[in-house]
Amino acid sequence: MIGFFDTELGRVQISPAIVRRFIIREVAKTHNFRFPGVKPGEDVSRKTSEKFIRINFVEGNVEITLTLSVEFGARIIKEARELQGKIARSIQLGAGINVRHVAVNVESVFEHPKMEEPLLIEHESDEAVVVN
Amino acid sequence: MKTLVNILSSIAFFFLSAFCLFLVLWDSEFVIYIALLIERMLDFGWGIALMFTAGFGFLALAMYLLLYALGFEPRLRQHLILSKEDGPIGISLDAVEDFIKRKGRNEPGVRELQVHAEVIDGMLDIDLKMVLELHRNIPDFMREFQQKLNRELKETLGLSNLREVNILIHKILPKENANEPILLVPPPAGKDEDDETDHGMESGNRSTADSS
Repeated sequence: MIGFFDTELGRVQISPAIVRRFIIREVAKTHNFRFPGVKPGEDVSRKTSEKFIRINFVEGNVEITLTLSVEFGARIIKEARELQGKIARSIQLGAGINVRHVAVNVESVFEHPKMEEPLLIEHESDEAVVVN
Repeated sequence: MKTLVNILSSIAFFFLSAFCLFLVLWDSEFVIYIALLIERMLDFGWGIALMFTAGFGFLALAMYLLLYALGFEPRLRQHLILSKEDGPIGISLDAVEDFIKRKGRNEPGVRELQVHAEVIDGMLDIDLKMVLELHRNIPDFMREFQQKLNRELKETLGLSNLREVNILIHKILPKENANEPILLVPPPAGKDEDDETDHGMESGNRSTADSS
């Protein structure tokens, strides 16, 4: 199946790959979610995107099921709601397809590598003598 | 695993097709030689074992393919639905277990932690198997840990259907750094310097002995 919207001149069809691109962009923007096995800054391969983004077109509308990894400590429901909203909005605005629903399945938990604390070098404070 | 089974099944089917073609195109009596060979193999113990292994292997492969074709994916664990408004949000039991493991690892006093989450009648039961460091009152520590975990699961993950958190203390180990550092307390006023030093060392040694 394929997504579509109708204009006065005819039907415009949108392939699932385009919808996936929108989703990948929105997921990359968030700090709390990523695709399982994908490191930050790494490109999401076609195989990965097809595996973790299931797209189903129903009468031109799209139903999306995402499998994601969540950051340890993030409030899942709140963050997932925001992501659902962003994805739906970007697809509706960018591709013109109606989004029926975006289901989010959290499959695993990840943690950002801890940054080493910067070495603080304390200097003796220079005292300035002010003379009026 | 899925790839391995696909490769194995394709190899098995290639062999079958090659065998059929060989029988039809070259030597139709080949099947008799095969039957004789198998019969001779079955006289030996290793031959019986080999045939058993091959039989069960092919059976397992056939069952796997059948279940896969029927839509049962192996190792696909149950998901918990956290919320259904505006599209469902689910979390896998693996993610819940991983979350608890990470929480436990950050907890001072917990050396090792094994987690098993299970959904029974729509309610989540969590079983924890722990290795602790002996450093304080264990019942109090466990109570606090259970409460903290319960709160975290409800607030961070949004799990509302948590029924119980069962904990099994598997082992209690001595603290890793048993020798606590000696505190250099400023000497109390009104005593000789030598006495003070001796007293300080004694108290330091005592605290070390107590801690060990």
